[in-house]
Amino acid sequence: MRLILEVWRQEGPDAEGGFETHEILDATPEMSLLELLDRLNHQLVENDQEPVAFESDCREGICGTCGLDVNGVPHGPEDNVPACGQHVRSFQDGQTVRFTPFRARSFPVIRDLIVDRTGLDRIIQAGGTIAVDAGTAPDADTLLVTHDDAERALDFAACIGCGACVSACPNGAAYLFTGAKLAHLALIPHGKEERAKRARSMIAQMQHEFGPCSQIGECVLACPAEIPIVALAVVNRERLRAGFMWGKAN
Amino acid sequence: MSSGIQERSDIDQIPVAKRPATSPPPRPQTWVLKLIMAVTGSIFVLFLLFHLAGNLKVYLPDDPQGHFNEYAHWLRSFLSPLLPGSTFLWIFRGCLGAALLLHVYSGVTLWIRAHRLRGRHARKVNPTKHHLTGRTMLWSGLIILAFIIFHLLDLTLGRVVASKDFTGGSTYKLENGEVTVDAYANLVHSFQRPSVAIFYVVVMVVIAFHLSHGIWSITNDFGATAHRTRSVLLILADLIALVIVVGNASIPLAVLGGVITL
Amino acid sequence: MSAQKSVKKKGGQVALEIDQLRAVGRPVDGQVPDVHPREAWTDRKLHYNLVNPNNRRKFKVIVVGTGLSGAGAAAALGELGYDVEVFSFHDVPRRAHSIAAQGGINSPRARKVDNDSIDRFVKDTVKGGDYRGREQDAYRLGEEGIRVIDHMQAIGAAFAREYGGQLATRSFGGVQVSRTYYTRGQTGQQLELAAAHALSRQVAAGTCKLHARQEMLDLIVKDGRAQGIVVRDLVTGKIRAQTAHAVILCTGGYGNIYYKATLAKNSNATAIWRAYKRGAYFANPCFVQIHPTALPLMSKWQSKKTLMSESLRNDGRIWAPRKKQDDRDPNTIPEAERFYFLEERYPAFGNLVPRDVASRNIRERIDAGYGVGTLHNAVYLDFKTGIERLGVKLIRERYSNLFNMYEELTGEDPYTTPMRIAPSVHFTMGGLWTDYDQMASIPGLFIGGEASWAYHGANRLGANSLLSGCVDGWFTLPYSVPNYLAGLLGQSPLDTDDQAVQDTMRDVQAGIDRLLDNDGAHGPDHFHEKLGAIMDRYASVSRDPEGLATAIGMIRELKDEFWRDVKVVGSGDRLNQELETAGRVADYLELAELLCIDALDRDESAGAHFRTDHEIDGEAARNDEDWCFCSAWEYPGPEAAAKPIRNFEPLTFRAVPLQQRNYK
Repeated sequence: MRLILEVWRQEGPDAEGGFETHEILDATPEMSLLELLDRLNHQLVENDQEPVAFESDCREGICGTCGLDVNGVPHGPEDNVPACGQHVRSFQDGQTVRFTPFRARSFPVIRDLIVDRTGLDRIIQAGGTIAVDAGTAPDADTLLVTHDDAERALDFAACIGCGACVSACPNGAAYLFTGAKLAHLALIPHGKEERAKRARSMIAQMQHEFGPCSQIGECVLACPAEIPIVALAVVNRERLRAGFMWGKAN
Repeated sequence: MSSGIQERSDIDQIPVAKRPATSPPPRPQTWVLKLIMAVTGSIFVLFLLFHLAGNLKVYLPDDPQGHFNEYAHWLRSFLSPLLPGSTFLWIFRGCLGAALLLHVYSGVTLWIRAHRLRGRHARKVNPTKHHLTGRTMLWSGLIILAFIIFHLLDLTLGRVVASKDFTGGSTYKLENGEVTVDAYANLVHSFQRPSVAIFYVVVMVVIAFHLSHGIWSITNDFGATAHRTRSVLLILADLIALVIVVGNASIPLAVLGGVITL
Repeated sequence: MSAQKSVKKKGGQVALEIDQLRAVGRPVDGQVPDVHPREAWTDRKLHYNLVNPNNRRKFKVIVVGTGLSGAGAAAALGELGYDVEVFSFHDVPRRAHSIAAQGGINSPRARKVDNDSIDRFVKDTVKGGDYRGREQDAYRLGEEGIRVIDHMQAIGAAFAREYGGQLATRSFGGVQVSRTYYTRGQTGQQLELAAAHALSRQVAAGTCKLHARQEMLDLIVKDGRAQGIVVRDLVTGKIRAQTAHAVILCTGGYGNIYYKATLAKNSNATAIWRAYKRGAYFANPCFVQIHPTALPLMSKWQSKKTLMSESLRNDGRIWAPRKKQDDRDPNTIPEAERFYFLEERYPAFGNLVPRDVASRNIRERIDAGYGVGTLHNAVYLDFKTGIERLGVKLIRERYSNLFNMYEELTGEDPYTTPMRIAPSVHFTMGGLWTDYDQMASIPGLFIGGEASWAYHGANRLGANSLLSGCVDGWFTLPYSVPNYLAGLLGQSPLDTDDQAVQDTMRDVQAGIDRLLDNDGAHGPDHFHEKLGAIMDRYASVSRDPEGLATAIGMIRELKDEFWRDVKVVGSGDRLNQELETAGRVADYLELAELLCIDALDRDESAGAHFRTDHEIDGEAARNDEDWCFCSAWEYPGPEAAAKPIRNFEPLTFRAVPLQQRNYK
């Protein structure tokens, strides 16, 4: 297959940046989009050009390291699939594939297709944690969790933290990410003890760096972990609940 | 080439990951603004339903003019004589006006924040419903704001855009002998102008868009996470939007079509 | 041991060759308490020195890597009040490859009446590892493994629950009890997120300072102690040093020397290899686990193999057609023409035999021409019976994310079509040698997780790696590191002005310049691919002396070719992924050679190290008389003629007497 690749090149955060066009003549349908970039980079290196910088790690959809926009869609054309699981078979022979870095003001470009997504982790640092020191936990079997709660907690805990939700959002919001964490921690026994405190601090940090949510639902289409859209409402529910708690930890 | 070994004097520190902000987030907080949007939005939804109920009196079979004007009069004199004259109406108007100001202020502030945080690259537009209605909330909102001004000038104040037959001064005698403004006649006169009638119809469609996404947003902003509640409200959002657009837009069309006359 | 007398030995020329390749060193002491293995950890903890809470903040500890063991150790030491500097080459801690572990985490909590216990856990682990790991380590793993579940649950891992609200378990390969705790097929993710979040809590509290996008390129050793590391800032290219009282390496395994493995693209051996070159011993590099159920290669540009959890073997049945080159739709192949080779050959364990046994059998079928798929390089993993027995709903609940992943990658639906799977390099039991306190042969250097060699011997049991990562990080290093630190009270970390620091930085810079200045024709990947081909052919599921000798020759040639012909485009003063890869490949080439020398040296079969010249009826034949020890390789220095020195730590087994493995 022949594909035209338009790739965003940008030296650094403050550089101007622009598109570069390359042609791949031997793409195959079973290639992933990251492998397509590997192919391109191989070609560039053989021609003494600098390869396109992009991030990936596990390449099986769990680490959340890969993240780029393909033809204006986070990760690529298929819904709910990370870039490493998107394939060339979604494109036709001769088609143009345009790679741009994740789009969000909160994700400054580091180089080419690599962006800085640490803003999401600052939300976690602000309070997405459970204050239990090593060795102090009680027997996990004495705290019963219903089967359904455990399963639901897992639905939200599945977030891979790739940042596609932010990139998909016209508002640059991180509600899906934040909501997923809040929902997960609100469903498990230890997480409930500092539920209100957590909601206040995480949501405050979220507002420092990310936009407001308009419930458009673009994030849900992009999310590789298929976090349910109710996570958006969870952010508001938890914040309202925290508001009623008047400064109490829970 | 590489940077080379640093001399002792300029060995800089290994960068440490940035930590969460210690300052409070921008005020008013986003979630507060969203809550204001939801509360004021809910007021408008209720108002619109109430307004529609009144409007639909033009379809009453015998003497619609009488029923409609009677309703207009009741609105002005509600809770009288407990409150003197049209006090209630002014409280009502005051509340609506305040809600409108808060709604517009919050909406615009949120829009500015959102716009600032969106990145630079172009985005493929998804043809989903919430994309079309959700992304256009600011624009539909501004159209509605313009319409509210038009509507007040047209049928309440009788200025500038009102029909030349606006009967602000003329009166209508109710069955009980009281005299009131002939709102029915004003309505018919205004809608007999085809361009105005079409404008009203178009705006009603815009309102439906705004409502359909707005009510869905309210569900989320109030933090409704129960599956059944959300399913019901998701349907209700479209249903209310549909009722408003069909109910209201039918009136100018009926006037144009000669179904409603003086 | 009588059976081993029948082992074929192939001539003396191999023995001659190995002597040209390595020198035999001295016995090394594992510092194991001289009590019954069951009592060892209690005894050791009793004798550990402690650090007063007020003094803890005066001790600086470096942790490299933020996987389960790294994040755990950093967070636990931070919670105790030490001054921790955490390094990761990722943008954020939670990306570490622990996150990709799927199936579960073992813990001998023994709540059920299936007769599980710590002793049975140790027996399974030691026996599964074919008696080439420390028994005492396995006891510590089991003992601390109990509260690991409590802790990980408490800090956010949402383990699967039964309808009664209790923790759910499942069984895994190599054991006959149900002691594996899990969260769907993403247990590693849940544990890693929980650990990384616990680390985040310490980052926010200021006890742990996080240095992201920094790659460790060397270890600073002075006065015989590890006193710091040199890192390259992956964004700006700056080379800087961090000194501390102790250094903990939790940098994972080296499986990526096989080029296409199930490891993440960035997992590499650089940190442990450079520590080796500074004097840390490397234990059993030839013990490499080949996972039986990975997705096979399907095209030229496929960048890696993808693991399909071992837990799938609980409800999936492995088979190959009885006819060679059978290209029929698998669903149309009648039962009579299917060979369920694991079930037939190993009736007691069936599809749940240990990984090495499963891998070898699958590879045997493929090599014999019974492989399926377009490249005939896979066998089937079939869920038809499982779905009939349990229903689609339950199967979906257990494996949905794995099935989705399979469908994403292959475009086939495993609910209706059997999966195609093939063995792939997955985990390295070998790693830096550590004593019972997890300290390497360089004092002050501690190793955790897959980067070390402990627990797993010659073969790791499924779901024991998450356990070892968690136990090392949360419940071993926080005891043993302070014991070391206590002796350094009053000393401050090395000044960055110090000659040792400056020299190490200069060495690192010289290494980078050498790569950048090399005027070759091919990028580093080119050589990595070639190395992978050599390793796959000669040092994979089965090995033979001639092949290994050939491989060593080829690797040496490839290493020369690399330094002649490698090309690194771009510059060193900014983000340069080619430069990162080049440095890693250079290390792989050296490590691969040591791996093959170790494989050639270890003149027996043990677990994953299967030598075709040491087998009984197709099973690995150990030689406990001569080889019941851990090889601890010592770096001989940079001279070309220098031969690595094989030291050895004799292994003794008291609780689990030596016996031949038998899964039939």
